[in-house]
Amino acid sequence: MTASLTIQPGYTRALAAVRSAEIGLLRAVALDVVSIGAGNALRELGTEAIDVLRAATGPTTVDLQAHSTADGGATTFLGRAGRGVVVSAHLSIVEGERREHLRAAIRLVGTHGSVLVDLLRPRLDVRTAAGTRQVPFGVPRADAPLGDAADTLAAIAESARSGRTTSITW
Amino acid sequence: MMEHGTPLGIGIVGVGGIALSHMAALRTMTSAQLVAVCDVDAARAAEVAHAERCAGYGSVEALLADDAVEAVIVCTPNMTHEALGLQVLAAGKHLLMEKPLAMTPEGARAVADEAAARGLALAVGHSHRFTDQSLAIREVIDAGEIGTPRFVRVVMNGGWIWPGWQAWVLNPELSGGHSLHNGIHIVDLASWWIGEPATSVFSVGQHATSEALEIHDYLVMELGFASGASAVCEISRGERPRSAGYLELTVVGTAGVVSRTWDAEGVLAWTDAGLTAWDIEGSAARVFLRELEAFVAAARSGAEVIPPVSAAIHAVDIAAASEASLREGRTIAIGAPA
Ligand SMILES: NC(=O)c1ccc[n+]([C@@H]2O[C@H](COP(=O)([O-])OP(=O)(O)OC[C@H]3O[C@@H](n4cnc5c(N)ncnc54)[C@H](O)[C@@H]3O)[C@@H](O)[C@H]2O)c1
Repeated sequence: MTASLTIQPGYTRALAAVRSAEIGLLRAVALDVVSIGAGNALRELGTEAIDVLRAATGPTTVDLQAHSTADGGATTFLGRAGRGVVVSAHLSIVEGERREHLRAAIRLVGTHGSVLVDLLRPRLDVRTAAGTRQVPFGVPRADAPLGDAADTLAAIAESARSGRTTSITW
Repeated sequence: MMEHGTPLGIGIVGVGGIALSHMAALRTMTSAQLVAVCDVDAARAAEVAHAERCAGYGSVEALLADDAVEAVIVCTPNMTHEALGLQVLAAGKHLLMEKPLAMTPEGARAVADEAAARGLALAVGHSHRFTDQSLAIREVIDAGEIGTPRFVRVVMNGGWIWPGWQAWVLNPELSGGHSLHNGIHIVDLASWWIGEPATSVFSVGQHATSEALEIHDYLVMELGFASGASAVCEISRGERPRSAGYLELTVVGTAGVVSRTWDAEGVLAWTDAGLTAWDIEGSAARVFLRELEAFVAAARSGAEVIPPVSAAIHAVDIAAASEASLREGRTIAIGAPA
């Protein structure tokens, strides 16, 4: 698997802002990824989501509560990471043929400001009588390899199954 | 809607901040009329009564004794709601209670039971149900466009707007904590859009503005639902810069996503306050007008109140459980709705 969201140019800019405290000290991270496809959201999107979150918080332990739909199509979790950073994420899959993200956004909240990154941009809006089209722009990025998150994802799935909070490390 | 030729006579108890929004809406209505106000600050009541050309009283008893008052809007601090609500209903007046209905699940049920026993309308000021965007989102859901909703993210983050240390909101004994004060608005939205009551809540909070705060000015509540759906409800008054306002409403369904992004109204302004998204003209006023019109319809012709009383009680259940989750650091189960 490769990480396209973690190296999305807006996100790398936002991560630089976190590292240099342009938004002060990180207080919260909120990520939503909704994709068209099929299958289990945690399995399909979880590894990349953890990679995105870890890039913001750094390696940390998170006490969290997860919820999943019975078909596994949607998973949500909320937790408290090291230094009290609040982390929430929603991953879901909308059944369909086209393989693309419907939504991918992350918000980084700091003590002195926030950054919101639409991970599906940069792109142009082209509106014509025939309809609306979006055209990506910028330099195509090479995909980077993703770290292993199998244990983390298993623990998230277990929290959703049991209805109890769990502690994970990413 | 109106079978009565005369407007419904409204009395307002507590003429502080939010009463101004109700009074502004009443000035534009023909189906209801402000006839009296009261406040423990009698001078304030007199000042408002003079400006609004209505009666002004220094006590609730005096306002309730006024026969022109057919219905009452309670706009006092949260800890007064249960007792004042029971008192208004006992006087035979319809009641629009500002949120929360009460500070405890038991208190909320006591007020609801009193209204039901007396056959009086009881509405609760969950004003966010009446915003342009909330109604539009509900329409998209009802049309089946996004399939079955299975996730809601509500974010209402802003900077400090409360008064100083003496403010009742900052005292958990008086406000119930942030879950009951503002959180209750957004957990109600989440449950309404998902279309079922929540069964659990797990909350994480911060004292973002000052470590000495006893309530969590930054609060995130995660709701679980029996269907497996979930919601993340985030509310903050601790953002920096203080001028920052961030509103995001997202519902993810089995077939798609509807979202109200922060800049959805399309008016972006660069000022000394930084980059801000401005509200469009009249959107805030419409909220209270719709809320009051629904209340008048319930009082006059028995229309169902919005939200239903069971939802307002459920919102108190969730918010009280959220405060317990903050205290205990664990997920709290929520009982069946009233
Ligand atoms: N729906 C919304 O969007 C919204 C927004 C803000 C506040 N509220 C709710 O409205 C209520 C009032 O909030 P506020 O911000 O206007 O508070 P506030 O402190 O500005 O005003 C409260 C007023 O009530 C008076 N008062 C206190 N106790 C009284 C009593 N026993 N009898 C008569 N008057 C009394 C005070 O003197 C004051 O004038 C609260 O329950 C709050 O949760 C709702």
